Amino acid sequence: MKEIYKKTFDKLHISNDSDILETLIEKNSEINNNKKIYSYKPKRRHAYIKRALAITCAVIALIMVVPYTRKNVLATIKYIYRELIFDNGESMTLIDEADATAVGMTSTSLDENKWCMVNGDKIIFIGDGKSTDITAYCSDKSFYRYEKTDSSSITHIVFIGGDIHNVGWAEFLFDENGNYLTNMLNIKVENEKDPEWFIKAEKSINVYYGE
Amino acid sequence: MITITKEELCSFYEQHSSSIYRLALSYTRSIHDAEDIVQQAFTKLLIYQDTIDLSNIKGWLIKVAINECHNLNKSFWKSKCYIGEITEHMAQQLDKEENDLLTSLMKLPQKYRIIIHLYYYEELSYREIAEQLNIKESTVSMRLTRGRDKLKKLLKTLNNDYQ
Repeated sequence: MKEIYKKTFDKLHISNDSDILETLIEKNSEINNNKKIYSYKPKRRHAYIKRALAITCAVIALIMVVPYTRKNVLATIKYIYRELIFDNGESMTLIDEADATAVGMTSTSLDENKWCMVNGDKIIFIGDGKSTDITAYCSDKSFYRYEKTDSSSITHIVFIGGDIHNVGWAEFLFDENGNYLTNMLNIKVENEKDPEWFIKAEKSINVYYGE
Repeated sequence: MITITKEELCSFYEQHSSSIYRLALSYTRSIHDAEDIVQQAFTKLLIYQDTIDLSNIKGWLIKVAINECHNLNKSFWKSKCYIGEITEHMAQQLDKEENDLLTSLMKLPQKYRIIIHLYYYEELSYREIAEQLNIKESTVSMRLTRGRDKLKKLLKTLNNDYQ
């Protein structure tokens, strides 16, 4: 086992080694230069610490306003350049990250009520332009499923699960050949565990890869 | 005051970056996350260079990389990784046996993958793994046994008679 394991992993190499090293060299130079500055001009150090504190406070403030119990995830699966434009006007770009300057994915903001909304004690599906009561389908362990293929030949499989207090949805996108492209999730997470309905949904379309 | 020179940095990177990358790859299952982890681990090395025992730099980097992986896992923006990403990326370089191993390994839960990697690739002892992961040696032993069993079952399902 050890031999084959080592042999396999020995073949895995960083694709953009030189870029990472170059970034680190720059960082090292910056750190070393700052060390000299700090030792001769201590006032600059205070200024730096104040700036760092201000940034830290700003980041903490930002974190505090994020609804931490809700997982709004946009995950890209295949790293191909492809512009997806959806019927509702949203767009998503999948980018080849082989280009070191590229970011993983860009997208418009996530609309929590894109597919469903809670009205009183009912969960209403609104993704098809109609309003359908799907409350009976949804629970912690079960989901409502909707599927459509848009004008870009992208198939959207949507699952809605949970109850009125923690309803969530998951949208999975497949290309015209049935290849899994990406997903968009709006799911309430407890103790970092995915809800059971969501795991079942992932398994039902063979995209469950474990938590 | 210790200062890591450019040459030392290049030397450290050349010696240890691949190991850290492979560890992170095993943990995150994502090529891009793994590359980020490498950069983050070495950046921390530069930031904390004054406080590090450079004689055990690899152990320190592994510890930092594992922590960074944990943090990524807890991240609000945690992504769902596609387990076929690595094997597809490496399709040309891997033979069937290697491909089956990697495919099966990536299907294992993270808690088994990391221990299998530290044991088989880094050749750490139970005690060293326990220290790196802040768990008991008995837990390491149990997870390694279970992980190995699960891996064998997965390999069998791929009609591979590798033991």
